[in-house]
Amino acid sequence: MPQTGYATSTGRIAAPQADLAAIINQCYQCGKCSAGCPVASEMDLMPHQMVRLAVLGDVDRIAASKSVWLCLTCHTCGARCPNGIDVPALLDPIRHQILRDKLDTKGSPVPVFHKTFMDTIKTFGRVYELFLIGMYKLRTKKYFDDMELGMQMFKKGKLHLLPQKTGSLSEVKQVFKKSGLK
Amino acid sequence: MEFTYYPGCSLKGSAEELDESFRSVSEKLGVTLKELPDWACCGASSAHMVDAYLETALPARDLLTAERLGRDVVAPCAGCHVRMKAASMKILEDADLSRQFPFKGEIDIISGIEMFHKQDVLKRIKERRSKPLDGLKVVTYYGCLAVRPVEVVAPEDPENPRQMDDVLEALGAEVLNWPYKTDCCGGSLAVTRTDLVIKLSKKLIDMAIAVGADAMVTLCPMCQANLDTRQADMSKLSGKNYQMPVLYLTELIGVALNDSQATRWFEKHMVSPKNMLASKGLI
Repeated sequence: MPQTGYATSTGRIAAPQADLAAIINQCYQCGKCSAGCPVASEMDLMPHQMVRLAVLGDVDRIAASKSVWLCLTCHTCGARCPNGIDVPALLDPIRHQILRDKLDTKGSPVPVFHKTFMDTIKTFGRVYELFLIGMYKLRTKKYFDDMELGMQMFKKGKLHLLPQKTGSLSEVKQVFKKSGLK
Repeated sequence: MEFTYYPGCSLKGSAEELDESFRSVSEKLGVTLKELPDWACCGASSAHMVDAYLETALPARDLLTAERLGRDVVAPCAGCHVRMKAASMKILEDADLSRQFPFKGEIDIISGIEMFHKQDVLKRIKERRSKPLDGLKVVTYYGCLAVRPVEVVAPEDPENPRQMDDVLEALGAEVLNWPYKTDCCGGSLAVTRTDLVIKLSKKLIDMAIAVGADAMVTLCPMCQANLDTRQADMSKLSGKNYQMPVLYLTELIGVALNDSQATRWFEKHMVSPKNMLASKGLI
């Protein structure tokens, strides 16, 4: 272990930054996060295991897990942790690096959706549901999922044909230019 | 009472009935809402997943506009509220961000639930209700973002919030005890992992049925969409017939204030609450 008391990464994904590391190092593996996690039963690494791996500096294993894209960011773990550790706060920087470095996302549709969502915002400044769903389907080839629901929502007037744009679209585009998302 | 109103994308898209009912009952309760000009998306459940800068920079633009206008902001969508408040906190504690986005923190960003729970508003609700929700049994479903992250929302009790309960009791409804007030419906996986959303949402609806609720009440457009639109799938998978109305808090305030628009809002629901409300003599 490094003398600083904080983990350094043993692989290509960066270890948590000092302020976050100081928090996650408090973990004593009580498992309360995993007990309350609504998707723990679907995970290959449970929340308390991800925290442990981060403390030990093996962040690459977290990045390679299914769990990193299964986390709902519901913050139940963070609300209940006796040491104030919020697992989404640990996972967000890892997810950012996976996307920035174009690392393997194991065919998960989740990052595809979030990137498509951001492309929608970059294009219109606001969500345009038909564009978002259409692009997502093209990119994941899930053309026929929820067709019936989509039709019913359309009939109920829940999906709009035309986008609504914000008057400040050029400012929104500037924000995207300064970001790490390419 | 006057607020800058940040509707957000859902209220202009799949949750129009929340936008319409929110504006309508606010007016009836003497709360003036002025829509934030040229607002953009807050980044929702996606920005923080993909990029740290976007997570703060997207809401920052709107925070700056709102601060110039000087009024506190109300964001009815639980997601927008969390994103805007989280961004405001990040800017205030990060010198580099506050240089880029000179937001001073002179305005408050409040949620829809907080607005209706303000003492003056609650008082007016009690005074102005012309059709008390007598005989209506509901469970309140806050979901995640009305109480979490706790350091952002700072709820009185993250496991057993009471604000919506207080409003509904003021309307005359019977608020039932149930254990899933703040359990996740599957939220951000709505499109990508519908299997999980159906599983998590079904658990909630099954419990609402078990405790004898006539309807579930929420103020989160994501929760409402998941619970309302997935009942057809639940029926198909289980062979049971799921017909649990999932109402916005503002829709029930509208019913109790005898808002003539109310039946129009219900047209947008996949599971219509009309028969249930009519059987109670409420519409």
